[in-house]
Amino acid sequence: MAFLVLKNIRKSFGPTTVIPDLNLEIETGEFVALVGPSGCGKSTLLRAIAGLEEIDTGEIWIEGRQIDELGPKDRNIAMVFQSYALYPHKTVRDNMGFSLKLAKRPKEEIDARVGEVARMLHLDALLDRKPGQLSGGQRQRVAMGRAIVRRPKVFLFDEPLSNLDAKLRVAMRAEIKLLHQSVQTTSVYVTHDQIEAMTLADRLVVLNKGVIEQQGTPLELYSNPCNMFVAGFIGSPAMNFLQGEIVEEGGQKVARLGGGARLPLPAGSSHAATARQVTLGLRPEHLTMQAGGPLTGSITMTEPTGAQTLVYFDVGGTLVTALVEGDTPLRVGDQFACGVNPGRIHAFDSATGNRI
Amino acid sequence: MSSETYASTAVTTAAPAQAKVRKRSRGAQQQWIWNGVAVLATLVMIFPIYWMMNAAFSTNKELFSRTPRLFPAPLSVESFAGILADRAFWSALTMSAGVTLIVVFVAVIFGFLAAVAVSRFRFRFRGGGLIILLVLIVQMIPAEALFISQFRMLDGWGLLNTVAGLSILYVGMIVPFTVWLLRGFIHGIPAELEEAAMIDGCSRTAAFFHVTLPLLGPGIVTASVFSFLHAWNEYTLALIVMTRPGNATLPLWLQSFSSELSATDWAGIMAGATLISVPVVILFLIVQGRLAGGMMAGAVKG
Amino acid sequence: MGTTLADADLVLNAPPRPRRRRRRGALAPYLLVAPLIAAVMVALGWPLIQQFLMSFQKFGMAQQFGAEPEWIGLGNYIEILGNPTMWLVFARSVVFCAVCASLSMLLGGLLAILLTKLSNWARIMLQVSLLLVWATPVLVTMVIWQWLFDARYGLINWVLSHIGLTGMAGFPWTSTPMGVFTIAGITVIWGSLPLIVFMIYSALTQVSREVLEAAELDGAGPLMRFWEVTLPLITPAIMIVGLLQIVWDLRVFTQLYVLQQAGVSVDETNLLGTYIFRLGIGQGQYGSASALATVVLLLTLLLTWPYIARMFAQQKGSSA
Repeated sequence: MAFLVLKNIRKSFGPTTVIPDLNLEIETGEFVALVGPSGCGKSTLLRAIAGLEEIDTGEIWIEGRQIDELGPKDRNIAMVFQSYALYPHKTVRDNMGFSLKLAKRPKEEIDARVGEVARMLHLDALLDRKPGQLSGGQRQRVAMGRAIVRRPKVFLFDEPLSNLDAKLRVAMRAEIKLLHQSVQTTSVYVTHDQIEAMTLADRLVVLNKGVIEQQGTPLELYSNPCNMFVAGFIGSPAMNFLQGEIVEEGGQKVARLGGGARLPLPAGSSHAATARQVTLGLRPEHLTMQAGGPLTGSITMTEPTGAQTLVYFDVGGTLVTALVEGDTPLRVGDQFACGVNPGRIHAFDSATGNRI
Repeated sequence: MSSETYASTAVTTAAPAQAKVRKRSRGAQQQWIWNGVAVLATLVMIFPIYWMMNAAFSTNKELFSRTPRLFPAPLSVESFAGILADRAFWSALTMSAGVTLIVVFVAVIFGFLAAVAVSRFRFRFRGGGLIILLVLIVQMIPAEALFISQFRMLDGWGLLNTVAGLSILYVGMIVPFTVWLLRGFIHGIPAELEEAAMIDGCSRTAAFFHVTLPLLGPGIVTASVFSFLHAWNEYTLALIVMTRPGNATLPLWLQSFSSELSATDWAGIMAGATLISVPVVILFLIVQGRLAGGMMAGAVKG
Repeated sequence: MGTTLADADLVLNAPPRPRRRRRRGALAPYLLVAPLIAAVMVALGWPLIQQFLMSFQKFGMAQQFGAEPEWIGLGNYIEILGNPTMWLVFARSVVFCAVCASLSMLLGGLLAILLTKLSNWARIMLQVSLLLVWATPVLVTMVIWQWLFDARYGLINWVLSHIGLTGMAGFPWTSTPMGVFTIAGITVIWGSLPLIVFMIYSALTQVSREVLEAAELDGAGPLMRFWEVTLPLITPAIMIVGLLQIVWDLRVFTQLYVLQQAGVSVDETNLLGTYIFRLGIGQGQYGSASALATVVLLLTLLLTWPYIARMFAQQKGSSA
């Protein structure tokens, strides 16, 4: 049995069902990220694991013990909140030591453990300050410290980085990753930021409307998204979707796009029936400039970012983005032509959105 | 704060140096005019209170000298001594203190419990909106609309002329407001703090006591002050319930004292009025910064 | 408190029933609001019901001494509505209320705007003085103003006679109806200014500076900005305060009652509040007094209902 098991979880708020029926297993020491758009139920699921929300039906097990009837205090978990939820009237030291104090640990032990974690997070100099006197990044560290001091079975993170500015977020992301590598505690991390999820997690779970769309390692999800939702959600800049129809030309099945362009189908989808409506998914970074390539259109906008430039061009009425080298000379209005390696093309059924 | 900084930098960078100087000095001039108006308004507002103290520290002989004096000279505490020697004053003080203590204690606790219910149990508690409605309606019903049946009710229960009877009415009047007030304060404390404490090992109740209660200090102080002022200052219901002179509260005592003596002892009346106001002013000086905030929190935030 | 919280705790920690998870803590909020409900029901709810019933009964002195009240339907209502004295008192109350409420709203609004234009020290000074006024017991206010308006030794008459109105020397303010209404009006306005100022001022401070700057960039002058941006944004607050003022000033009791004790003709100075008091407690005509109180209450509810309904709608909207 896995370390953390969620079995047939169902949760609704009044008439709205947030999670209809969810199953998930997480292994010991694993770092799992729950990602999805806002309102997909990821935070609710996290709070259900913490015991802050009661589930309607289903079971939650940690290390072979069923915990879904227990209150949050008896589940031996720690949580880092989006707002950090530091106790404003307590010092950093007391914030971090509060759980141990409640557990009636001897004072020496509390001091030792708080001191150790504080050194690890470079908080030693701040132990006697109150949260109000700390910067955003420091508060974030204290919130993590409070979780670590407990030595819980599971860490829960609820969008812990979303209140930080962009630069600090990247730095803290790295710290969380290093931290997990050193303490190896099973972690569940909720975020709507797929880059954060991909950089941090061993495994991604993509949620949509309370249903798991797909789970797997970051690269699995990136290269083999099982449907259009996952394909569009994972990867930045987002994948292009082009409508087309499967036709047979010269004994080979190809997709004919709206503008008349033709693209080969990926090898795995050659069984698809002719005349079927498909949606082709093309990642901007997989479109390569190629004179006379199958996708051509006039450039409507460019977004240089330095090393690379994002080109928006119009293919038969659909705006397509491509990522090219930063020093490529491009002008709005020019024709842009590119091709794509057939192995990188994703084909989805237009009706169901599922991978063909 | 941030928008202010933004505005001032916008002015300094956009306006040429000279224009900036001219604008500043005109602004400063205007500022002084406004401040002058404010001084005037303050004097008008505060003058009656000053005039009371002026009379209280004067002797009747001076007061009846036909030319009002702006300062009491010589300073006399004769009238205060007279009041403090009055048994009726002490009896009224005891009565008011008793009623006020009970009302503050009960109203704050009741208000606190209900405020917790409406602000922390929102999802499961369908009556939350009703409580708010109740608070509003009660604030709209002035005491005068009900005092006949309140009088009869207390009469029927044998609670006329008792501290308990008056306290019951006061609590009922003030509790909806303390709920309103404390609810605003509890809303200001993120529920996540309690959740963090629950994860740290508290039960729901313990989380509330460890985390929310210590942070609620200012709210409780504000609610207490409001209840105190209400119970200490109230006149109408006291008039109805405390029909026997021996059971008068301070406002009732002041009223009967002043109607008996208004022709002869203005200094004494003013000394009495000053003494009644002293606890209010002391209390007020302790918490004055919060009062305005509390009034706003209760009234405007909704 | 101890017992109630302990009860709540018991409920929270009760052994969970396997398939009915949502029961946990479901009773706690009801236990927590129970004291509030009880207090309000005892002090206000029950009297309200009693009064409502009494207004349909013949309930006078005889019933006070034990006679069974007789149900007379709308008799009391017909009686008071056909009573010219009541209409006179009613008209007087409406005029008094209109004058006091509009003057205090006007002055309060001006002071609130003034507060936004002051240096720090001046603002704090004005706020502190307003708070002092607000905290002053109403009875103290009354004796102060009676002293100021004292016929022979009062400051007001002294000042008036020294600025040329020699006829005002010794003018007996407290024994003429107009004088009594003047003093009552001044004390009512003086006493209600603080609340008005603070509520409007806090609404004014919540108007975002950026919105005003945007309006300035759009070319609006100071007056236009106030009219087009500030005023619409503070209208809700003004409505609340204005409504409360109307409700409170319509039945001014304490100020007038105290002044009536000083010897002026009661019949010529009664307003709704004192009239109900004299009719009920004074003359023992509980039935008619209750009917009148009920009418006034209904009038109040009618006046305030749109506001209450809106607040209720907002409440629902925000909790959903």
